[in-house]
Amino acid sequence: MSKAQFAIIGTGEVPCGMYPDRTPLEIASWAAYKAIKDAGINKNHIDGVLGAMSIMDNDWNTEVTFGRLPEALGIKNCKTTALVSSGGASSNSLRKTAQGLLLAGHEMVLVIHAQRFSTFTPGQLAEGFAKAGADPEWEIPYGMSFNALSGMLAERYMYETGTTIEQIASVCVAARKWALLQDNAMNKKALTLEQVLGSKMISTPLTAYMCNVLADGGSAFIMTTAERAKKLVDKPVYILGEGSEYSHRNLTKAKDLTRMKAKSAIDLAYQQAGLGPKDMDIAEIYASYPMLTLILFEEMGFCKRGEAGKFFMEGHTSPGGRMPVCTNGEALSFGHTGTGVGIALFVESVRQLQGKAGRAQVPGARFLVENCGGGAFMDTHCSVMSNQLL
Amino acid sequence: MSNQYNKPLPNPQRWSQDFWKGTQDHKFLLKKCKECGNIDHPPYLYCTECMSMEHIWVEASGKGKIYTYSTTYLGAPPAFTKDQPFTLAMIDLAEGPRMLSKIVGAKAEEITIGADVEAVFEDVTTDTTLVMFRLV
Repeated sequence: MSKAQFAIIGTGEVPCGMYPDRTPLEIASWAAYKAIKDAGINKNHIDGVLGAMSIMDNDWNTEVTFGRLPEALGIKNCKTTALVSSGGASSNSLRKTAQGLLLAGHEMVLVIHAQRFSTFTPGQLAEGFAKAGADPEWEIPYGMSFNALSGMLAERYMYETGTTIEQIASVCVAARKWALLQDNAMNKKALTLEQVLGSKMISTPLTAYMCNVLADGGSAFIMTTAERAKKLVDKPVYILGEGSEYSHRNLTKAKDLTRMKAKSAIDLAYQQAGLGPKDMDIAEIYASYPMLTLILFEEMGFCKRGEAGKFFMEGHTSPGGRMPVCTNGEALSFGHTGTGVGIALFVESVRQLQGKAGRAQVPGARFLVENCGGGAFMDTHCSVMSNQLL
Repeated sequence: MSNQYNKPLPNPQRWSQDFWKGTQDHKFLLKKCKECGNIDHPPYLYCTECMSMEHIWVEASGKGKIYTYSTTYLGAPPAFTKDQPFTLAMIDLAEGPRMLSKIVGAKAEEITIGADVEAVFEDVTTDTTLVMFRLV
């Protein structure tokens, strides 16, 4: 049985998309403002402020490192502020850092992500992401990119499981259906299976709509202890279980390339919570690429290996389906904000469990499984969350 | 060989310099632990299994199989745009390690998982030779 130590009491988010005139400080300020108002707390009770490391924007990272956030947000009693890194896994490392601060006696920690990509040229972004995802000595000299890496993972997963490209494409269609219910999502137009399959080939077998597009955005959440949370808000969201696994830097070094040890992280989270896949009302999966959504859905125990594609294709994970997945549309349709995709999904998890998810609300959602991961599919961090204590 | 090669080149670590010297002589070397026999590719400072600093460089057979691959048609890093389409693959070497490389001399539709390949040496500059693979 679970004994939750930590809870989230408020969230904030700005629209995701191309907004070159919106500075990272502006994004961070709005996300923080909304999170503080959402929690209904006095901002001066926050004593820790953590900023997520941005991708490619060294100026913003320096600003966060040099303590811009507490000053700009008027967090008068701030004791600790820091830049926390770890790429796509940042929702986890930020949360773990926040948990550490709370264990060390802090009262409330505000966590903020802000990213602006639209002021970089497409060439700078292609190069930046090739460099970030690939090994500079052993992969980059061959022309490696994130899309090629993901293409290789998709090709192998299809080979091992018999999953079809149509089934992989159906993940993108489902993501778009959810994004259409999200006011802050970047993509506002419906998407068909034919459009996904018929879009330009990028890196086989992945077409353009299977590869996500970088976007500007940001979000924030406020974390405190479970004890304190109960007194502060009507519906805190508790973290009931957590698990983490690291697999590799270069995907060639993964022991099980198409599973990446994800299951042991997931099982640990279920075990701590005293719950299993049958208890979950929603799965918020950070994958960025559609084959990984299928892989993780299977590793989470919702389907047997190789059966997730059929499940997605049949619409069970779409709005109104029996097992909602990625209710904000994820990187594929909400928008890829660099280190913020996991944070956006985490924020959406909290909204769902607080009943604040608007048109995307899953009625009566009580238990949810959420994951994030970073690098070149280097790790898996899994959490089981709920609006009730067991 | 060209003096106008504008693609990124490997920037070796101290412990991988012997590998890159080897490729210049068209030798494909792997770093093998003298204590436990583990082969580390990529190599690191010490054996990642037993931490021994003692190693030898063994010449690989150059034989392997394609574990997985992807052909890039669009969106390659800028220096590689003109090469599109090109196929990158993970190769399972006969000696055990898996490595990333490029498949040369084949059409995209000829490349399959499980296909046998062999190493070829591409002298991309006067100082740098990359190991690539062709279908057998």
